Amino acid sequence: MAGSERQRGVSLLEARGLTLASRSGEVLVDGVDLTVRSGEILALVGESGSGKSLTALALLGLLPEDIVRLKGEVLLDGVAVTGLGGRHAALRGRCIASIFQDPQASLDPRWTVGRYLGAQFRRHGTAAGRALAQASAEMLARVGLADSRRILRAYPHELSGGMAQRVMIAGALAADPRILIADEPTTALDVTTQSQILDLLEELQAESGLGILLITHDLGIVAEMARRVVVLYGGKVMETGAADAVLVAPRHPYTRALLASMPDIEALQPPKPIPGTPGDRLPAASGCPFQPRCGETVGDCAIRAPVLTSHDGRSWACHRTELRPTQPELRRPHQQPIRERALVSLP
Amino acid sequence: MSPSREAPPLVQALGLSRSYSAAGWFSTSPPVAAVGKVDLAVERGEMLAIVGESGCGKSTLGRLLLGLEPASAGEVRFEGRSLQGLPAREQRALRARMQLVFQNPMAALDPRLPVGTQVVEPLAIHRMPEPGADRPTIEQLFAAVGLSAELAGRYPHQLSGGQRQRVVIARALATEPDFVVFDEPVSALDVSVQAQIIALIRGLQRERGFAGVFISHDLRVVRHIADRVAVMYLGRIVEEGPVAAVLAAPAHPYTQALVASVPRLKRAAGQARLRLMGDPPSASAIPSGCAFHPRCAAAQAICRSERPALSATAPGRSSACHFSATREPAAPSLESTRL
Repeated sequence: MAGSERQRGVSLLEARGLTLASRSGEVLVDGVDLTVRSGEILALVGESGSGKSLTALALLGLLPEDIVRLKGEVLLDGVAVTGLGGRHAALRGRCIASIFQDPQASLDPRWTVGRYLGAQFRRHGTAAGRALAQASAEMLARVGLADSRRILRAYPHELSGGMAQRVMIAGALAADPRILIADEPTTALDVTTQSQILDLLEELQAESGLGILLITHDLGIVAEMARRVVVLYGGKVMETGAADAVLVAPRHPYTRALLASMPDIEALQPPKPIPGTPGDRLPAASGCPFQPRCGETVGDCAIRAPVLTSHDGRSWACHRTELRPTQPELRRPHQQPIRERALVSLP
Repeated sequence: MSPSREAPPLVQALGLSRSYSAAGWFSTSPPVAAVGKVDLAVERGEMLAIVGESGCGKSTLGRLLLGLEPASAGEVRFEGRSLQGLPAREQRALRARMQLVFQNPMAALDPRLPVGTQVVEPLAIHRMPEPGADRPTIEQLFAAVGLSAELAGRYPHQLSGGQRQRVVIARALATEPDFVVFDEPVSALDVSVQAQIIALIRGLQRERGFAGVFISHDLRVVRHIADRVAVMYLGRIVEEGPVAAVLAAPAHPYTQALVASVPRLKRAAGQARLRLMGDPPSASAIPSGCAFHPRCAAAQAICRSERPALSATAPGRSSACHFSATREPAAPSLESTRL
């Protein structure tokens, strides 16, 4: 399917003002905008409760029963697919594939890898009959599993975590999708295996123009993989922009605090915690969700929600910088503002 | 912190091994060697990290050091006395001085008991303190780990993950242990909360002076919590030394691969993410010679036939590689990848 849509930068999948709530009315995702482009890795970053996985489920059309969409749209190739029900599901199956954190749990323990992959090809009509075995073996080779004869006969419990994730990726690619949503795909894996899977995703993206939405909590992975990043907190976009710009000179206090809380293998300073827990947030209507944990609050933070300010292709939602958008703070990630540094208790 | 020359280390493993024979009459699988001939020492007040991939035996080693699991060979000494063959009474007394903190606090806590009650439970179990001495209160134990005493009446499910881990740490410290094994205590936490628990463990250790073993797969966390690090591969220690030195210039090819695999915010030009191919082999089929040789880019004939001993490469550092002495300790930027 080498067509114009596989060129880099074409918008494939979009969320516009996506707002999701529980049945009890608690807003869990609030006005999220994001665009997955072809040939590009977009990282969606946040802690528990940030709404990153719910956003992914909404993009996939797989929202659980107890979550309702209050507002906003999901667009596939510029066409709104929200509320299309069965048709969304059919479109999604062809265009968007997904892989998740625990590959062993996503595979049926009673099915061999061959049966699983065969079913994926048949379901999407990308291979059938005698071609199935050949297509499955080729797909395994493409995801770096050379010993396909053995692996096609293996059951999930006979696979290592890394092999199982490769099989999941092979199954996801069987549909010849244009978009891959990868929700914490390496969180359950060892660091050397993680490295292999990240390399594989990069290669697939480069060779086929796949657009990838990479959901992760690890800013190190964002730095190594993503072209652009969306930072979520409490269901709202805090900051978005080119990954290298956002990570080198974050403009939102949450992005800064999250960066400082990451342990760095080379840094001498210990990671700096953010007080409270990710569950501490102001409700959507009453201010900035990060206000209860923020060390840089001003009066407005607990009164009204800040709007996204855009500048230089970047956007951020903070009252402090909203006041003086012409002077974005250009700090390096591990440098704390002087006021904060004085508060760090010394050993 | 360094003890006088005569004093034995607080905890010492000598040739410590643990293997599991396959269960069942009809099982044909060979025994699994989880931990093989480990020698290590933990001095008073120091934190030793044990790192490695899943299945490398690091958790088994932690349990062996606490005497929670019998050794197949070798021994563990606490203050110079072997844990094996201690009379039951003395073993029980020692238990109070050695504690364990797990990864999953939800599993470590009783869901039906208020957390305050659980924190003082070890004192009752160990009939501590001696009559006449002051018994630490729930309030004191909670305050030590930064928890508000108001939470004492809550049940585990009513707390956040970080609060639960604080409860587990408070409980482990109630008996004022000299030695604590932390088994992946921050792996399940959000990064902002993980940093809180790292700071808490570090602070408590400084205040109270207990020695610890910190088991982790995350080198970034280890860098900020440990004084020394021991790297395990298939049940054996392959490298050991001060954490900053080992992570800055790892001597063993396996450590080099681990360090290079860590995702980082800033990667210097030419510092490729090193790819170590394949998975660690099973502990039931450990390769001959150096167990790492099938995945090692620098492997030679000798690596397939002879197991390298853990030997000193620099003061305070050791590595189990035939070529550690002749090779410059490589920065994690090495190009040698086995594809």
